[in-house]
Formats: sequence, structure tokens, C-alpha cells
Amino acid sequence: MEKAEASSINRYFYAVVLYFFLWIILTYPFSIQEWEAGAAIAFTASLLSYKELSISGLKNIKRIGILLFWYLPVFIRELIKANLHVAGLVLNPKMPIKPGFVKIKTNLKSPVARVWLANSITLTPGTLSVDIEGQYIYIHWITVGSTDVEHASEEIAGSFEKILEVMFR
Amino acid sequence: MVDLILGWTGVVLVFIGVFFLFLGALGIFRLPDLFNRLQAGTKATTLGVVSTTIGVGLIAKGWLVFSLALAIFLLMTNPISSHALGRASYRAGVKPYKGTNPDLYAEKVKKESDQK
Repeated sequence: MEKAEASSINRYFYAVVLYFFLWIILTYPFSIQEWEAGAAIAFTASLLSYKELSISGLKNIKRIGILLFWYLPVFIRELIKANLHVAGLVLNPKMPIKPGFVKIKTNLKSPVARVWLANSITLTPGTLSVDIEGQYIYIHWITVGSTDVEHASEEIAGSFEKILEVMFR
Repeated sequence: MVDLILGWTGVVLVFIGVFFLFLGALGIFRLPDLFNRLQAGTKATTLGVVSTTIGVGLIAKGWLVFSLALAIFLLMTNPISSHALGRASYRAGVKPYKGTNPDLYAEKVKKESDQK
């Protein structure tokens, strides 16, 4: 949030790159003619919408790199763990659930980073982010481990917070 | 040969996805209240649908790029929808299951409604 805004030209080119890449994916069997049309459209569409698309411009490309090579493996591991956890709960005849709403604290500053953190929390074992208020995220936890804010934060958000801190620096 | 291996990987992925989708449905049936059901619904359907989509992409290779794009969009939007559902239903007065303890969110909702 406190970060300086990138220059207009920077943001414009980020929009061009992103739109062009999306165009390539959506017109998949690759052909040069499609790419030419895509380039023309990407340059025009970016002109109309780059202001709304991003604040930090080309820096986002670095973020997408971190996203793919660092965040994604951790995320997939957590997602599989979450699913096995749900499977264990649902298939257990006694259903050992102990639900509760807890509150955790995050040190992330930028709003986008907080959105990513809340989304990641939803897809990790037994937790669902319900609401956010400033630094605090309210979480529905299916098997409450700790009600203490500090301790719960470490347990729920620890692994993602470190990555997101680097990503949104 | 490579085609064969990819095809069978795809089939395995589809089966894993279907299994987790089934578990999600079972969870929605068995768990006691809306929030617990949302949890089962979100997690199981996310992995289930993503795995099924990528599996289909591996079986029919012409669709692989689209299926990856679809998987990414699903991963990004699924948690948002469940968050919105959870928040809205809590504020609309859906009571959590009676064993829910602690309920720190209740304090916040109460404080906000007092301010109004």
C-alpha cells in the first residue's frame, strides 16, 4: 500500500504482456495470424484499461514467477493435506470435529497480499476465512488447536505468510 | 508410449478427482452446520474439480492448455465464493453448530450491529 505507484508506461506494458499472454492461451492451437491479431488487440485494450488493472506494473511479472515456483508447490501440498484431512473427518464414523471461530493477526501490509493470504488459508487444512478487519482475519476452524491469537496465526498462516511477504515486497 | 502413459495418468487423476468430489458430497451430507459443510464443499470440490480438469486435459491433449487455464481460474475464485457465502450467512443470522467454541467472530458482528 505504501509502495510508490509504478509509472503509467510501466503499467501499460504490464497490461499488454498480460493480455497478449491470455490471448495466446485462449486461442490455443498456435498460429502467427492469431498472434498478430492478438498483439493489435492487446495494445488497444491495454490503452483503455491499464489504469484499472494494476498499480505496481511490470513488477507483477516477478511476483508471478515466485507464485509459480515457490508458492504453488507449497500450496498444492497444503491442498492435498487439506483434502486428506476432510476425508479423514468425513469417513470417520464418530466425526471428531471441534469447530470454532478464531482470530489471527497478519503482518502483511498490502491489501492484495491479504486477499492472497485469506484465499490460501481457506484451502489449507480445516480452516475457512470468514471475514477480515484491518490486521485481523476471522477464521472458522474445524478442529480448533489454539485460541490464542499469536499461536493460531503461526499455526494457520505461518508457511504462507513468509512467501507472501517476499512476493509483495 | 508417452501418449499411453499420459493418458493413464489422466485417467488416474480423473478418478482421484471423482473420489474427492464424492467425499465432498458426503461431507455436505454428514457435517452438522453450514460452516463445516462449506469447508468440506470448498476443499473437496477444489481439488476434485482441478484434478478432474487436468486429467481430462491429459487424456485429450488438444485441451490441455485450456484445462490448465480453467484450473487456475478455479483455484483463484473458489475460496472467494466460499468466503462470501460464509460471511453473508453468518451476518444474516445463520447460527453455528452448538458445539462451536470459541466464537470470536460473534463479538465483532455484535459490536458492529451495536454501532449502527
